[in-house]
Amino acid sequence: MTWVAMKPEQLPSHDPGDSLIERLHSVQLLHGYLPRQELQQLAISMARPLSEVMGVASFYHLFRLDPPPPHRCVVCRGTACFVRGAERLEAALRQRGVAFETTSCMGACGQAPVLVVDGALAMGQPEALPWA
Amino acid sequence: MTGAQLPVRLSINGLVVEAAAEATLLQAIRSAGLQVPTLCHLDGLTPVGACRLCLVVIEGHPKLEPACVTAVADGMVVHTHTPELDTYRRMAVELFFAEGNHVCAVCVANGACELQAVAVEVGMDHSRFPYQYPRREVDASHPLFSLDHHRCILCTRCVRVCDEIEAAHVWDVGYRGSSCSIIAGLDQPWGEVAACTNCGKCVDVCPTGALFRKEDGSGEKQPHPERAQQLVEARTEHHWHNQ
Repeated sequence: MTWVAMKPEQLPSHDPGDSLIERLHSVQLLHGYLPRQELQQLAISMARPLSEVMGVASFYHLFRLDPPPPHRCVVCRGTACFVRGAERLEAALRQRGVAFETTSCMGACGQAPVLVVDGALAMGQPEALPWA
Repeated sequence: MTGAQLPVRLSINGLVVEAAAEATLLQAIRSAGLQVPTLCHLDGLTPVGACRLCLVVIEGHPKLEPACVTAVADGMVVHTHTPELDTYRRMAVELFFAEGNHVCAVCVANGACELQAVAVEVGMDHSRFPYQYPRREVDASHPLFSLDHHRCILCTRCVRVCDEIEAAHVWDVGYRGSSCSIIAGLDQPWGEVAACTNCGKCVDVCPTGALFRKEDGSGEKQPHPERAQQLVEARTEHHWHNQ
């Protein structure tokens, strides 16, 4: 079992600070984001200062400090998707108040513009989204 | 005796200088009576090479190196002031001004500000870069001190003095890029961070008016950057400031 997949309390305590990122991953895997209370627990269990833990957690875009929206939507901003109207797709999502993230090429250029909704690849027809 | 312990000889601006083998280039430059501007460096704290103002030319070396984190070496030929370096230093200071909201006229540190002094030293009277006017916060939650992020240049002196000398580690650097900021605890209001001992060392060493005492008005801040070194000397050499 890798450390990423382990629950934070299963990890040996007082280990060197270089496992901080792995532990942050495991907290995020458990909660979907990094709740402040968990960060505090992590800092205590690793005997690291709070601000150091927060400094690392806030540095990486992949760590979320706020609860994720009910659906996760990632819009591709790769070249093919851009040419095929990813910007219009983003504008349509924004207009509908859908929270989304962006990423570079996902390798599905043949279906451009694409987005990933809750882990499933979807063609970029805004009206086809489940909550539209 | 091993070779590493012997003092080294190097040339700085044509001057032959002898320095201890473990010295940094900045120490060698200053002990020779020469000057390079610095902002993040503070005697008594670990150098980090963040402000890039102490960049120097080392002959035969392909890139500029920050003197504060570069070790001296025998036979090194160093130049601290060339037209190229002067241009880069001025640009760096201009970027500091363009990046934050530095308004000297209403600042607590006016007249006692290291950023202001460095701007004068490098001959910067305006910034050629567009001012960013970032929207930043003022943290006045601490009973004694305030942190005005508008004036912060992210030199991390407060982070280092709090960690290395006070050992409270209240501060760290959070987020990244243009949203990078100094954070207290879990990015909490400073006054809520239990680790803070209210010692005020971060305020003493802050080169600008970002950290200040609440009683200080415009131009009233009295920084004490020398205290970091005094405390280190007291701790390691039992040489107290009052002796």
